[in-house]
Amino acid sequence: MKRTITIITVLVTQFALANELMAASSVREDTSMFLVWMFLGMCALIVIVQLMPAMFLIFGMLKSLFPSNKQSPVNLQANGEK
Amino acid sequence: MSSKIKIYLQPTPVRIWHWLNALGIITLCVTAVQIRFPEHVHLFANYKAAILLHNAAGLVVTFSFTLWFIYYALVRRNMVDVYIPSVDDIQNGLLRQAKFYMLTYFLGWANPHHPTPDNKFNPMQKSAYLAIMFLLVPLVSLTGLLLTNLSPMRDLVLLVGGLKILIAIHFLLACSLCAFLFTHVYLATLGKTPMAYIKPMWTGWEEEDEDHHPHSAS
Repeated sequence: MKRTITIITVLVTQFALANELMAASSVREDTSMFLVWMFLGMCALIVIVQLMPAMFLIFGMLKSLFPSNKQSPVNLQANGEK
Repeated sequence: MSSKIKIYLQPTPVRIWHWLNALGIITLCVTAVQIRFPEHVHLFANYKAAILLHNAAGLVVTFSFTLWFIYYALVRRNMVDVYIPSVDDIQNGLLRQAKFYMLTYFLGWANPHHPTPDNKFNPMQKSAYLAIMFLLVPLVSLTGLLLTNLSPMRDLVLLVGGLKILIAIHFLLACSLCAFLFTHVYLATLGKTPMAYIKPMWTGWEEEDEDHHPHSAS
């Protein structure tokens, strides 16, 4: 019984220490690339925002090229349909 | 009372180039301060972070410069009209525009230059952009690329005069570009309202008085 308690104590201590070590390693992680990704994200945002009017225009043109078959209630009345 | 007309002055590729350039050059200036004076300036977490961001911004500015060149030289093919000052620009336009910026603007007179898609810039802008886009930006990009990759182009670095000379050239060119940035922002606010020249660079459309526009009926 005493031997089991000793083994459990050693294991718990080791896990606790391992956890500390992992926490320490994550703190020391190099975060230099974070600013670069943030900068590149801003660049992508500029490109997307500037391209949005062109995308809306293309979407509108495509929509007018392929009109939906669904008729509006006004058109249905004009055609004498109920 | 004159009516307003809208001119599509800044197409999408030019707007993308301009704002990428703006973000890139401001980032380059800020990171450069820490790289140049690491013992006094601590804007970023560490020196490596400043270097990495500086390199990324430099590559973005070089890429956007290439986009600008391809657009004007190969797509629109009006680079000469837009960026090269004419004889009249040099003989009369420069003085006329300088007089506006230094005197008549403060008396409330109208800007003597009225932009069109093929003649966007006034004579002073043309002269400044000629030096910046055909000399400063290519040289600062080239020296920056050489400093980023020293070993593959070692012979070229030695041809320039060595690493110290290359760093000095890069630094002085960058200082000129940074000085231009302040002038550029100040002059951009000299429209009818402070945002009158900045808004078209974001939306593409500029509002002009119809009686001033060369293509108007009057």
